[in-house]
Amino acid sequence: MNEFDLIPADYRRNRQIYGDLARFGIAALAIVAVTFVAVTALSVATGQAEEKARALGGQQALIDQKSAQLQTLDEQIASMSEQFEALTGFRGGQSAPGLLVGIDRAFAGSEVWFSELVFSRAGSMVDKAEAAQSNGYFIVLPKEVESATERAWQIETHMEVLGYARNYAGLSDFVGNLLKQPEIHSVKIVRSALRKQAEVELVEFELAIIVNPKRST
Amino acid sequence: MKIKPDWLFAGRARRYSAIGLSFLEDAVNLVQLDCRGSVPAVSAASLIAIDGSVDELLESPEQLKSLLQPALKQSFVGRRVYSCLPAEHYRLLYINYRQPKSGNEATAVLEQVRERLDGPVSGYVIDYLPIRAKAASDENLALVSVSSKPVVEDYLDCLQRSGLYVDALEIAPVSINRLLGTVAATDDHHNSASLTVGRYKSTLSVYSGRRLILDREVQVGERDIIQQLCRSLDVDEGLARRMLKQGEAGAGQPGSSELPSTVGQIVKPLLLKLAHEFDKAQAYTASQTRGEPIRHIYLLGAASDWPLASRILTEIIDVPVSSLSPVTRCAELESHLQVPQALADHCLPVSCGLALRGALA
Repeated sequence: MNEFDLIPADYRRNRQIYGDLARFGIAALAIVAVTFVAVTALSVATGQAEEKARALGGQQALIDQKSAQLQTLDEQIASMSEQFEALTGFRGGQSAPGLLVGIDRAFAGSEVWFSELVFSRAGSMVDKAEAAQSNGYFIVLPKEVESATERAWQIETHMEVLGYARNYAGLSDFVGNLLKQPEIHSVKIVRSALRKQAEVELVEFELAIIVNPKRST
Repeated sequence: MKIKPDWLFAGRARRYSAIGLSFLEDAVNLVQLDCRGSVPAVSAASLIAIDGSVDELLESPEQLKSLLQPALKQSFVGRRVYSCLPAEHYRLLYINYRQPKSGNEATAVLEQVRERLDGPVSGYVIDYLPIRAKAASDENLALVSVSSKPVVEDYLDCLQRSGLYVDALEIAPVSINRLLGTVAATDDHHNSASLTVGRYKSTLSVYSGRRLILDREVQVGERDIIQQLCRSLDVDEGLARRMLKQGEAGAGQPGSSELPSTVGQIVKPLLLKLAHEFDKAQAYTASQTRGEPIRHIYLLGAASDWPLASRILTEIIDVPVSSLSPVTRCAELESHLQVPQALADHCLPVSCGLALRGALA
């Protein structure tokens, strides 16, 4: 032993224990402080994220609202377009004089004559699938909730012709000439029968002439 | 108990010694050494005046803290300190004990000390230094420090609460001996002494090499000498101090008065008291060291600033007397302890010796 040491052993030991406890306490406080700071930072970050999410949600709702409005407008536009096209269809098609010129061209040289001629521009609701098989002009209508099938407005511009032909060959020539006219889409012989008038046998016929929906040039 | 987390300073503190802290009668002295070089160098030193007594200061840790903190923050590294117990709080005993053939030496010393104590041993802090072992017999001599345990704990608690971490606590003569052994021309084969002149009393310590073999109080202090001078010359205390410090530098020269020699004659009776105690110590030392005399005296404290004290004591006791306070005044210290000139006046021997404990460890 070369030096005096007047610090009591138990005092030094207790101080060591207190020192260790203090170090432990400081370490614990540091951990708590770091944890608190981290939690606070996360809380702040979460709050900001939630706020941003709320803002984005608001924007999303606005976007949804606008989308719905846009969709409604699109639907309105589509509906209006269809109506416009329908109106255009009504307005369009073959004009009666044009059609008559075409019939007149087919009539030339034929041995047929007419007793009645009716020009009709009308439309009717048909199933789309059914309509697709026909050659008419369609306006596709919005699907109804209750309706499972899509409906279409068929525009039929047609002419009904009642008349007589000298014989079936004459009727056949007339129908063939009609089909050659650009204004005529198709011709259906609705009815034909032999009729004796004044001791002369004639062919009475009834034709349905479907006109071409496109305006002829 | 407030614990300063000293490990916070561990990195830088390794390069520096613990702070040597000692209380004077009217000041606190702090010294720290830079241990990086081959020779310890004083890196920081502070001498802080106290308003009131040391005892009052030690009863108020907050006041002590406010007194020390500015200096500690400005100049010192770490808060680890080596300190010494004030002289009135311990007593030294010389104990003869028999070296046990089997058993603990400390127990043998304690058995001898127990007989001289009032009350149980647990109420005291006891430590000892072996001084002498007789080869012919198994009888040894030990210097034992005895102090009241509550007093020591109060002292430690006070320093602790003032923000310091006390690593070691010892007594002033041991610190001075360490300083002498480290920086002065003392060696293990010669006896030397230190005479510390305090405000109210003086302390004479005798060393045989590294061993403290005597520590004795003398009831002559700076105040007695100053008052003697004031009474004799009808001067105030400040002038009396200046006279003692001026010494004989101007005596005998043209224009100077012969006052310094008169001052010497006035204070000589008090110095004779000190010399008388020295004679007794000389006799005791010779008896304990096979006739080896005290070869050198180092003057510390207030008297170290009085050139005429060294001269008069040298004349009376016929032993060389050197001033060792501040430490740089002693020329032979230069190569062993580097002290910046700016800090020299703040480097008092006890604190230097305390700081050296850490530097030499």
